[in-house]
Amino acid sequence: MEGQIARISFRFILLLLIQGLILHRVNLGGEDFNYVQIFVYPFFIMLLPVQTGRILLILLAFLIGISVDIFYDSPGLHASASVFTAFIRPFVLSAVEPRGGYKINSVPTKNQFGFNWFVRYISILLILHLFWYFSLEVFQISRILIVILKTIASFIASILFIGLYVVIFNPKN
Amino acid sequence: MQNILFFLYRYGYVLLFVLLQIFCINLVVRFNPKQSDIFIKSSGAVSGWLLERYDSVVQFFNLSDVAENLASENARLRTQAMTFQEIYGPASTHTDSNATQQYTMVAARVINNSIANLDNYFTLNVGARDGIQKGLGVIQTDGVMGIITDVSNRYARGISLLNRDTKISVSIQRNHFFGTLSWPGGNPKRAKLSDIPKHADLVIGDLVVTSGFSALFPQGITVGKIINFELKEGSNFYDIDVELSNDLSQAHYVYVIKNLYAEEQLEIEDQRN
Repeated sequence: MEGQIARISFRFILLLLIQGLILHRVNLGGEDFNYVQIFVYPFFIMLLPVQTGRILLILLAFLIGISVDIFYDSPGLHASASVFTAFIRPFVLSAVEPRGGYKINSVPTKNQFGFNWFVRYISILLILHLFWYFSLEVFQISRILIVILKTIASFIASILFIGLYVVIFNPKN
Repeated sequence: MQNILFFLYRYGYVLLFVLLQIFCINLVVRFNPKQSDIFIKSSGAVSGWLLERYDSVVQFFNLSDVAENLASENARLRTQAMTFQEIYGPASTHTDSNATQQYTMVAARVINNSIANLDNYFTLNVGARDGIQKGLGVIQTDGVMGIITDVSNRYARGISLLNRDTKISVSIQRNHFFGTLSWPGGNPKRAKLSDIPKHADLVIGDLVVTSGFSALFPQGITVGKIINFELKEGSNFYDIDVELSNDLSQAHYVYVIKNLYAEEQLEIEDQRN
């Protein structure tokens, strides 16, 4: 239990620093295609243990979101998207529930549930997170196409980066 | 009671979600310039529509006042026109390419206004489609109303003279000393005039008019009159109290001033900076 809290705290700080110090400065699209941003911090919310209480989940998500906002100098934007992601995570988890349900103390990782399940789970949450974020960032209903374009472009970049993260750190629990 | 607790236990996370979202979106709208701009514009379009409906009902009750004001203004303008005709003869037929028109006015109705706050704002029922832009001056029949700051398609919002951000370049009509008019808060009929040097000779009752230095207002629009002045020891400038000639609480129909030369003036003034 204590080991788990330490691991989660470490992951919090690691993802926050990767996001805030490195990915914040990465501009993949260049001047002409300014639609690609890499988001890795939502992975923190996705990797919390399945049994995490909903309130705790939302609070932790708010914490990482507002911390990312400090680096991005965009008060509320990332926090709002994170809170949204934490809110829908239980629904997504029950939607992709494997046969036989979740075991106590299980953590939604590739090792415990298999590659296909993992990709599906991450993709759903990530795309919803990005869509919420870019809706708030663009903030105009009339420019919904740009929101969708940004969501798709950033989704591809982010999922690749999260894959890289999994390969390097291989989070188990 | 038990049911409430159970409900909270069961669905408290929804409540938390909603509360945190309200908090976050509040942060977004308040501290991110782009989003706050869009928010003000679109909420302005909604509230402007509501305010206009409301105002169209309320204005029935002071129609007679408004009509009287407009009639007296009409009378004054007619007198002026007649005086000019007497001096210069009937309307001239030749065109003087030097004497082109510098200012045009757009009539507008005030649909929202406040005077009691520390910073006051007003809303007009004209907007971008009527050619209104950011930064135009607004006058009443008998004085200065304020400056437009936000424009949507059909509505314009501005800072009233009764706002700490409003600074208007004015001069004293009799001797042309110029200074800055601002509002310190409090009494909606009193404003402060600063930057008049101590060698100016002032008389209580001196008329204060717009200076025409800024691109906002033409020269010579009455602003108010001096009711009190003092020279603080060691200061080079007078502290002057001005009584405003217009009553901002009675603003119904106003004029937005478009300065056709504004761009040219600002361009040449910016060249040095």
